[in-house]
Amino acid sequence: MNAQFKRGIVELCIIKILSTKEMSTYEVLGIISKDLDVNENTVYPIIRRLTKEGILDVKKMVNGIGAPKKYYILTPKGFEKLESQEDEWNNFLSKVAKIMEGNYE
Amino acid sequence: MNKKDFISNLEDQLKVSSIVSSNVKEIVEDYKIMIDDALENGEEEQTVLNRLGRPSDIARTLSRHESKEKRSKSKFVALSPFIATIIFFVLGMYFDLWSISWMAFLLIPIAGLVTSHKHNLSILLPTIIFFILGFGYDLWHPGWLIFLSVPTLSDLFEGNSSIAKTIEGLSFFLIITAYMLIGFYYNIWHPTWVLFFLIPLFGVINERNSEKTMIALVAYLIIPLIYVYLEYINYSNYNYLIFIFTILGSINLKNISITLESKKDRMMVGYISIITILYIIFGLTYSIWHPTWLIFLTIPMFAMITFEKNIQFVAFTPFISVIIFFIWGHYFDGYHMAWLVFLLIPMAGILSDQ
Repeated sequence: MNAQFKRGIVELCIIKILSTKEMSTYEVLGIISKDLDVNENTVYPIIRRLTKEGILDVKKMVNGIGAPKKYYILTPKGFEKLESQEDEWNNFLSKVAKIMEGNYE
Repeated sequence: MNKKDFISNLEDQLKVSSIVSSNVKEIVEDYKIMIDDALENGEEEQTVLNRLGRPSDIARTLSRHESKEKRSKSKFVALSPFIATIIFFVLGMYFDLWSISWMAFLLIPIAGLVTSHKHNLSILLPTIIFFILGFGYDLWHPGWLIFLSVPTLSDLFEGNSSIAKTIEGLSFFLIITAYMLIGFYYNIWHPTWVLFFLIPLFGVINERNSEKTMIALVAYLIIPLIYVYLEYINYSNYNYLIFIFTILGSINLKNISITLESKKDRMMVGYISIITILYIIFGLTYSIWHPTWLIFLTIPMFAMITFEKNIQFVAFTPFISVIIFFIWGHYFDGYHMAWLVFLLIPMAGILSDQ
């Protein structure tokens, strides 16, 4: 699969997952990697970019010793993005399905 | 590699990618957290590190969306020792202006002063040492060599330099100092230039890859030592040929392996065959074995053009430099000056940020 296409899909998955509850990068990875072939190096740069773009908000939580852990959650701007991307995705899927079923004439 | 090595290597690579230092700290912290999370969930350290892959690849991916340090000024400082060295030798060798040519090295502290508003210690320290050597011991020459340490000290004091970059910078400073001292005091410019092979050697050692280090030790240390020995015993008919092994080593270091499965592999084998046949024909017909062997240097260049995407000019500079070096040295009797073309390698590296 084209790397850029894959990144787009993973981005949508991350946004969807973080719309339900706040999670760490590792937790997000745990969910996505059950079905898609991804690792930290795919998920982390996307989460970092989305945070910079204001799509995600980050909360730091001190957990005993060591560096504070980071948990990410969707911002209002993120929910808007999710809504438009979900529409786009569903529209795209239905068109592809139509072609694959041979209904293109 | 363990977690500590991985994190330290990642930090080095992020710094080399010129990502702003606050972001480097943040990314390193995030990777520490991700690794710790995986370990807390019962994963083996080695499994996690294998999955994460090479820190250089991570840095390359992340650098696409990260803010970069402004480097044009530091590039000028980094280039200044090379420019000064070239001016120094051209003025000295071609115009016999040795008495004043050392002043070219004042370009280095001047470049530092012009471009830096802080951390002037990197300029002040070598200048103080230079004046102590000059006024105290009348060692104006070769005391100026101390200015070659300015870019490395500058990076070191500003905290921008990775350990690997500092070692590389210091190795350049020490090697060129050793070369010039041996050249000036004992007049043995040739084959002292072989010392310059140590620069890529330090670079490879810093990658902490044992396989690459072994190849580099053979290509950049043992082979040059054999060459020096052959020169010493006056066996100089074909001893340039041994550098073919250095070239082969360099190809290996680029991790290019040929399997004949694809069109590109077959093109590669065809090219190597043509070059070898041409070399043998020229050698047997005209007895010009040296410097005809230089055509072998086009093999790694051909391989890079064939196999690698988005290749930059800097990748070709080692081969181009060796070709110019031997042609300049052999046909224009200029080995004593020709080594200056090797400065093209770090200069191209600085200009392309690699």
